[in-house]
Amino acid sequence: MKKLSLLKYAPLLLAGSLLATGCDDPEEPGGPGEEELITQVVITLTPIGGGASMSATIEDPDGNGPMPPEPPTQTLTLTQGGTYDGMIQFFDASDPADVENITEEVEEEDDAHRVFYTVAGLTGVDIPDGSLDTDANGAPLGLTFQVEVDASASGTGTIQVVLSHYDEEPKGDGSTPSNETDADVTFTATVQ
Amino acid sequence: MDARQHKRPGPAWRGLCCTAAVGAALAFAAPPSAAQAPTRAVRGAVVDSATSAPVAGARVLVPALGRAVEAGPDGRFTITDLPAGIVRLRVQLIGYAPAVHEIDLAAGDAQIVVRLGLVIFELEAVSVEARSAEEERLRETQSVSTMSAEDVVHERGQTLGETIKNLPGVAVVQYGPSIAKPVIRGLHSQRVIVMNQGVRQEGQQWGGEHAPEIDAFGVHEVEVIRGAGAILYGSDALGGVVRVQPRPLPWDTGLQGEAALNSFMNNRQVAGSVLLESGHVKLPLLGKSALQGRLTRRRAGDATSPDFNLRNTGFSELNGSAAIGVQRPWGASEVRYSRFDTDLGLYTGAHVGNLDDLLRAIERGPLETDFSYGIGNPRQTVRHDQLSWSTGLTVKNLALLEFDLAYQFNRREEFDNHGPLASRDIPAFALDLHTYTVDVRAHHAEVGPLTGTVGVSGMRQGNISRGKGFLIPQYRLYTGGVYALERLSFERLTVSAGVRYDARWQRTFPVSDASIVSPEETRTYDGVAGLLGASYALGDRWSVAANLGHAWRAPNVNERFSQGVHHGTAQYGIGDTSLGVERTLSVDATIRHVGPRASLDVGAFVNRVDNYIFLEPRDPVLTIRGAFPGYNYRQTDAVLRGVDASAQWLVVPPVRLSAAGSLIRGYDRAGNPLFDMPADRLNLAVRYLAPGARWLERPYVEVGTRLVRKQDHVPPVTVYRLPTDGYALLNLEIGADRILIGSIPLEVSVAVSNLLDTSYRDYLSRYKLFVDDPGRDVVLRVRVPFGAGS
Repeated sequence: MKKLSLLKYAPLLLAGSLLATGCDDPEEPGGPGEEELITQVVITLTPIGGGASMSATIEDPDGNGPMPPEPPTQTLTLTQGGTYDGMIQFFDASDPADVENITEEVEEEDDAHRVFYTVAGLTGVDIPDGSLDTDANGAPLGLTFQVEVDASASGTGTIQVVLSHYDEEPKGDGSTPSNETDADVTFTATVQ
Repeated sequence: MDARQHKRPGPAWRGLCCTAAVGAALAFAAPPSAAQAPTRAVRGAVVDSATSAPVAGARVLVPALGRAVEAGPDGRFTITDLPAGIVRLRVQLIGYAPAVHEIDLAAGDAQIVVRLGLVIFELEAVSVEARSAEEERLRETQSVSTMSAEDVVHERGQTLGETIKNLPGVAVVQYGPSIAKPVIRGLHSQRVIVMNQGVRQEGQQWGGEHAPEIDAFGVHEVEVIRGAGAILYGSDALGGVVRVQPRPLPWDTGLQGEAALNSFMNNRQVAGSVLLESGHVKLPLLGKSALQGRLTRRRAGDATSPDFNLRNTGFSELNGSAAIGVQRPWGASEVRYSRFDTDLGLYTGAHVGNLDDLLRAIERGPLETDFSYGIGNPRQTVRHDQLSWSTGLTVKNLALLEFDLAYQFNRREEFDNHGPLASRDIPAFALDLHTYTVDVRAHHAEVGPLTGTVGVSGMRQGNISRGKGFLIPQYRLYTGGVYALERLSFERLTVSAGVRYDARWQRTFPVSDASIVSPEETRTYDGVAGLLGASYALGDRWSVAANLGHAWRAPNVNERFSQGVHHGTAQYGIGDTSLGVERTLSVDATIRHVGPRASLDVGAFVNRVDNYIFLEPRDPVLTIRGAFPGYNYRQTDAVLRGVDASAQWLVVPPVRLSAAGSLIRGYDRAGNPLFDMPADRLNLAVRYLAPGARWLERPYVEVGTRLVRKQDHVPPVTVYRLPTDGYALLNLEIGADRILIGSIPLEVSVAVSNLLDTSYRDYLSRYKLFVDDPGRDVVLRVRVPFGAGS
């Protein structure tokens, strides 16, 4: 004989559902935390043999956000016949109060990074591979380099700087870029 | 390897005790023998299958003769003036799975005991009238495919998606073998609802590489409902519903269980699962209870395409579940807990930086690497906990009430390669999702030809973001819905109508990083979803059905707030908080045939989605990391059309042919193809059922082919080549239902997929720009049931 249903227990079951509180409070501010980003690339050229150094900065204030990076702060002026010691630096300035120098991390992982320099629109200007600093295995790294300007150099163009990160594929001799670029910026330069 | 259409027992009540339902499944649609002069009688008693107590007031029918009697308060009944031949008796009562008995009265009167099992936890309001499985399938108004427990064991893959991918109308988006997202009629992610054990699976399913967090061994039966109109489960299933049913609790049996082993040679994977259960457990306070527990371990290494090792595509899973339940005269109640825990790698060759990197990677092709079980970055760890409490109460002759409460916790962490070594163990993205759901349903008793379900459901969800990077904002979400689904069953015609109203309130919270545009926003949405369908039986073996469905979907947080790169495609997606609601109107028509030697199911559909949200190309997005192809989330009107078909034919008894195929075309308002439309495909197979022996039960050999046409219906304007070539794969399977080794029975099969190690790239493989799909795989499936029920 089937008993009458115990409908009276139904409200209990429903009430139980309302007790759900749990530690899920999206109102509490959560992430994101600090993401390691490069938001600033600084190129510095110092003429060999004396003279004032010049530097230009490309900054992307919204980091990974959709706004494009700002144009370089300065156009590099190169003198005909000059040679320059170059240096590239990478910073995470997403928190202006706490700027992180990513260049140090690149240096620490020198066998997983390589900076490529490509000159365009300037005749007689060259950044020879041989002038790049090397990593622990002797392959080029590129945090420092040299710019050679012919006596007959001319033009106004660009210097593209690409920081390649070798993670999946081995760096090898560092002659080809990886499939994971950490930075790809283009500075403007002119010969006078 | 095909997925056979399942012969469902009874209507789709799947009860706690299936003895009566099993009887229905075995009964063929045999007409009663010609009426003969002598009169016979059937005397019987109706009892509860769990308690053996008499069940009062059940209706006993002989449909072929239009006769009906009501059993008395002691459960006893007598029907006289029956022909001296085979007579089909149907015994039904609200709250129980109907029982069908075929009785041969040629020799004289008969006495039977009808055991009725309580029915709970099945959400479909279908007619309580019992019919054979074939009849029930013919009466279904919606397009549905089911996989029985047997089908699932045969097809069980590395994931849930792989297990169901051969069903008509179903495809999978894959990131290697470990991630397989179900696609139904071209729609996936937030447009497909996955129900696991009666609970709506909530696991950030909007994500391209977020697949359902369900133990493949925990899948007992699966049902796929194609098309909009899943009134009972939600208003946003524009594509359909995948319903995963757990193994029912063993109310009537002693200690039993199973041990199962699946191994996949392609990625040197071994997966094992052990289940133990018993229905005769005496617990303090609860009394007689049923207990069930399962533990699964899965470990896979790198997958292998014909020419290359796919580095970092291994994965490691540890899953467990436990259930406890009681069955009493008032109904039944069970509590289930499950944990899914996986650590999976993403193919490093698909992990690229900016557009130049992407083009370089496509051009260079994959790197030569060696096989490894190691899982490094980029990788994901996913943990999904689910706790649910389901109760069914019968209200005598009035209704069956169901209450379901559930809590799900989903934690997804994604680890990237970038950043200094020190912080590589801090996830780049980490999301915690807490979801509480409540469902209350009433299946009301028949009122003439009308039967149905009304219900209320609610959900409370919170999303917490913990990682270094931004993916989606934190949010609080409440949804509530009220629905009714009714069915009118006449002699030949069945009509279903359902309506559902849902309201949704969502508040997203600002992100502390100033560079991310994510203000606090509160959005409310509401809408009505509906379903209207009819099926008409043409004779005993054929039916036609047509269905009209309307569903709607609110835009998801990723569609509103995306601001970032998807590493596998270098796509930079930008969300739009002003996106509105998607609405769909889908029409489908199905022809079905169910016969003793052949079956056929052909369905055609048109699905119009207004305000279809998609990624539209825009100017490249520039960051310090370079240029990325840019995409905005936009809305357009889209139309999807297609045909799904499956057929089986027992040509001569030992040889069975089967075929299943799907076609789909999807276009937007401008006439451009939509992204992610599965390519046309056809599976054909020939199975030879060999004669068995005492130690070898029902052995078989099956040869099959999978033919996929090239997919050249692709959206325009991409910087990389999207179309994929067609391909044909040859598959071979050998197995037996039972092999006796000594006294141990084993169910064994060995299946070789892609026997010829053909190189191919499926259109829905997210690695298709970089590398071929995995090549030949030799899959061994062994299952050993043991204990009382084996």
